Amino acid sequence: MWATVGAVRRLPAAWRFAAGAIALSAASGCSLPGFGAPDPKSSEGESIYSLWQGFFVAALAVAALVWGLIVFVVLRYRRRGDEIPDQSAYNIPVEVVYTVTPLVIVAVLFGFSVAAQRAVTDQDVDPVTRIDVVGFQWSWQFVYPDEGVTVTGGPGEPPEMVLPLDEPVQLDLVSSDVNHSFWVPDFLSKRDLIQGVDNEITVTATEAGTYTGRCAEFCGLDHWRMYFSVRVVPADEFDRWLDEQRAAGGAG
Amino acid sequence: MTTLEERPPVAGEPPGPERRATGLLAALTTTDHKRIGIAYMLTAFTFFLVGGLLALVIRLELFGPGAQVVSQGRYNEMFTMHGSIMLFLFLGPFAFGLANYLVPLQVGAHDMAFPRLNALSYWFYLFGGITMLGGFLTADGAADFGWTGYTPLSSVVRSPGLGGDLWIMAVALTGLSGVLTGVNIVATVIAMRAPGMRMFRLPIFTWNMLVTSVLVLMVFPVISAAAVMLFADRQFGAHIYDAVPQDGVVGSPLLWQHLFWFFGHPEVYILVLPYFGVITEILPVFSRRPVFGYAGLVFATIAIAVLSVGVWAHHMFTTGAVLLPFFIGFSMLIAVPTGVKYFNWIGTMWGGSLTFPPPMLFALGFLFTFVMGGVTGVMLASAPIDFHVHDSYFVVAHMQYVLFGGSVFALFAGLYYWWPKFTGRVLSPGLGKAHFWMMFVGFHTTFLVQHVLGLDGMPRRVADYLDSDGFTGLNQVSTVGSFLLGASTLAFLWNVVQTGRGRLGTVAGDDPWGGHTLEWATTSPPPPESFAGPLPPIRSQRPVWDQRHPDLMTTGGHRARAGTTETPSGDGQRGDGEPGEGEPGGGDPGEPGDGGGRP
Amino acid sequence: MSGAGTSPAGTEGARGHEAGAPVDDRKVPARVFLAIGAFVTVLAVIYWSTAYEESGTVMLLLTAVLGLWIATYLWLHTRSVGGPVADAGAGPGTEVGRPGPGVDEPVPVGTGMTAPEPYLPHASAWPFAIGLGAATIANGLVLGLWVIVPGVALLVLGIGGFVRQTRRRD
Repeated sequence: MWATVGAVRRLPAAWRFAAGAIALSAASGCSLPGFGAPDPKSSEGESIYSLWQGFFVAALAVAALVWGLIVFVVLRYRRRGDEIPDQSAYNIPVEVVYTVTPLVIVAVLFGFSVAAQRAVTDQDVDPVTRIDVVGFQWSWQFVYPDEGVTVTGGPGEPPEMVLPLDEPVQLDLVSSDVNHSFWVPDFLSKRDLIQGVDNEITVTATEAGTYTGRCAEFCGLDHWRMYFSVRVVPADEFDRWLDEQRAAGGAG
Repeated sequence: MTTLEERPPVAGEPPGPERRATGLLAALTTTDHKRIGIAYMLTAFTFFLVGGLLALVIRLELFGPGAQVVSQGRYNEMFTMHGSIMLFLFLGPFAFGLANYLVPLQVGAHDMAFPRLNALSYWFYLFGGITMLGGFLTADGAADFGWTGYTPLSSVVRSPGLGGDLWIMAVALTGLSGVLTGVNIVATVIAMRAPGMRMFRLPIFTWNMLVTSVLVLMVFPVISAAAVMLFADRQFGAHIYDAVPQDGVVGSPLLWQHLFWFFGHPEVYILVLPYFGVITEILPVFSRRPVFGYAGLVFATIAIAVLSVGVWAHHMFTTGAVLLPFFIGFSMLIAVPTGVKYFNWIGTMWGGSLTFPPPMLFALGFLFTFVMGGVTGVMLASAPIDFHVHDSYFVVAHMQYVLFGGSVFALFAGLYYWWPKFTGRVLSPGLGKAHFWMMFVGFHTTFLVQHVLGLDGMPRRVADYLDSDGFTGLNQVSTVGSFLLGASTLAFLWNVVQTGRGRLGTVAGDDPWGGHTLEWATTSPPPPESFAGPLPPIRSQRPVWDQRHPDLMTTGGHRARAGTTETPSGDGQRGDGEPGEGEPGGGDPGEPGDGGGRP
Repeated sequence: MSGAGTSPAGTEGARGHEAGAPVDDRKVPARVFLAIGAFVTVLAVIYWSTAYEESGTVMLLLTAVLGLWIATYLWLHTRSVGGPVADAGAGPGTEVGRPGPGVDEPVPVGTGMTAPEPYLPHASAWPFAIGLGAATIANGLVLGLWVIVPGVALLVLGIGGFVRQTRRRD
């Protein structure tokens, strides 16, 4: 009986710890390691990164609790004799606790998720420019319609998208043929290119550098080779690059 | 004269002699649920081996940058067929095989409700599987658009080969097979139970098969319809999934994703619920305790099923076209009943008297591993996280953790557990333990690192990668692990062969493990009519346990009795545990004349 | 006999699962389907009022209809003929809380349905014929008419034989 009571006492504490850990990491974010996620280079990525950290801690806590219980049971209740053990088949208070507690945890995780989702998808900013991202089998074309610049890639020649630092840019994702997906792992976010679906995303790059981009929706033979790159430069350098492109004829 | 071919009429049997055919004719004409169950399991396991070989080709190819083993096009066929085989031709049908064999026994019936329909289901499955694999024999090869078959890639313009059409026909055939089996299982559970076998006394495996069957009835028609529409697009000039406007009407490639995942998400629960049931059968027996929280398990299973119908678009978070909070919320909610089940399983073992023969080892391996797949599932349910890891190796890792780390571990637990009932022999525990540890280490080596690969930016379904990507090291670890995993299956096959020859393992009596449910109340293997005589009294969820422990009958409640030993009232104690390492068959010694009616 | 407080009637003991008023077991299957159908109906309503697209609503509604349809059938059938289960815990001495004579007697194997002898055919070649015929037609749709025609013949033969066997209760 005391073991059961002990177990009941242990459970809520572990869950409280998990919920607290999530809140803590969501609040402090950067003090936790990335647990495998790349360092975010965009503001959307930052929202996702801290959400990921919180989830990882919660997941680890849950898994550790479950593993701990399994190991405990396996060690403590090995067969030691021929005695038939206790045959109790239910315990309503304990069952209620371990039904309600996961519900509470899920509710908390849901809240944080929707908040982060809105930060990524429901942005209320004015983009400084637009880029039409056209995906085709098996490369990309980046059209800057307001700037008169186009960058086109081809087999073995991944195209490069240049973005201004710290400024929101709107990407309109269009597919010429099958489904593709625009993924920059360093931005921790992707969006699909599907015929018939108008996808507009807002990206605000927060760190200068060059980042690899990949196609993340299987699109046939050379799917794995549909690389592109994203180069983030300070705003004045971005303007100079645009001028250079226009001077060179607008198409790269 | 009563010969082996004649059986005296028993309640429920049509009168008159029956000649049991032999050989090929028997195989082609059988309607015996046990033979059909074995056929399903044999066929499914064969497909597992084929799918496993394809997986090894995939892992070999991904060992390093540059093409090693197959061309890009062939590689795409490899992963398409690997996924399709494992999901359509292996895990589901194997569960149906177990259900075919066990559900009539567990409810106390002679056969399924519709024996010939049962056989028909099997033939649809077998021929459907052959049709799918037939794609490899065509000029352009097998289907190569991923097991999810997204349009427009799967259109006739982008994937013109016959392999794709054969794939569609196979999906239709195996879908029909599943629906008919679902009908059979529901009818059997509702209408064929023995007296005393109330719904809330059914074994949890049977409950889970009932709920799985309801899911099958709900969603298999959707994939069949979607596939037929794709076929119409490909072969009959329809434009259902075609975004290019035709005469002012426009189709939608996205529609395929909605239809597919409305089927696809419940499908993965169809692939896991039966195996949850297997675990729930094994843990009580090897803990010498009843199922903990039986009613909670039933309600949790039903909750998982109904919730699974409402979460399909969490596979579509990155399409930008779905209602995110709805799907985030319900997807996370499914974790709750699954968590409840976990605590019920732990509660079953809690305070028990545990032993660890192979069935229990695999069950514990399941418990340890599936929780990891479960928590990564909750992560994926969070759309912002999914924005990063969707269609990456993180998803592959999650999927493998729940399907292999979950269902396949539980499948082997069930195979080792019921092998004596199917064949009359217990598989060698020594080889079983070797199999388990190889599989456990091999599995985690292969798939744990894939979480990191996905987070790092490795997409899925890629035939290759660049040196500069930095994926090489972890891919090599994964490949090495996969070969250990493959080798573990060889240990199992060797066990099967040697036990079959009598060189390993032991003879099993009716009840080598001290089982609780009705399948242990008949011989190993059972006679053609499954039960040759009347059943033990059914007064609880554990009729065979009750018969063996008349003073300890299942009553439930809080800590009913602690540490009560067996009374020597003519009830054999020795039948309670597993036969023990190397000891000759631990059949329940109470057989002759004990408790009434077992042959 | 050891074990104070046990009840030989299993879970019907005063502290067992079924300590409350007994539920008519024949209603349980209907309730399971009702629960499923009702919940999916709720899902469908929520989705219809909030989502951007129609296919999900249609699929959820059809799923709900399936669940409610089966629930209705089972409910009606239970009322009219006393349930599809020949015996749902009934039988000598199985009433809740009242272990009467014969409670420990062995029970007959489930007879199923309301018919005393359900039709459980032992062997039949017709499922194989139907399966092969349908699969041939399916392949024929891909490979050509020359495959469809024998498939149709086999399918018709198989269905005919199946039906004939059912009529003769072979």
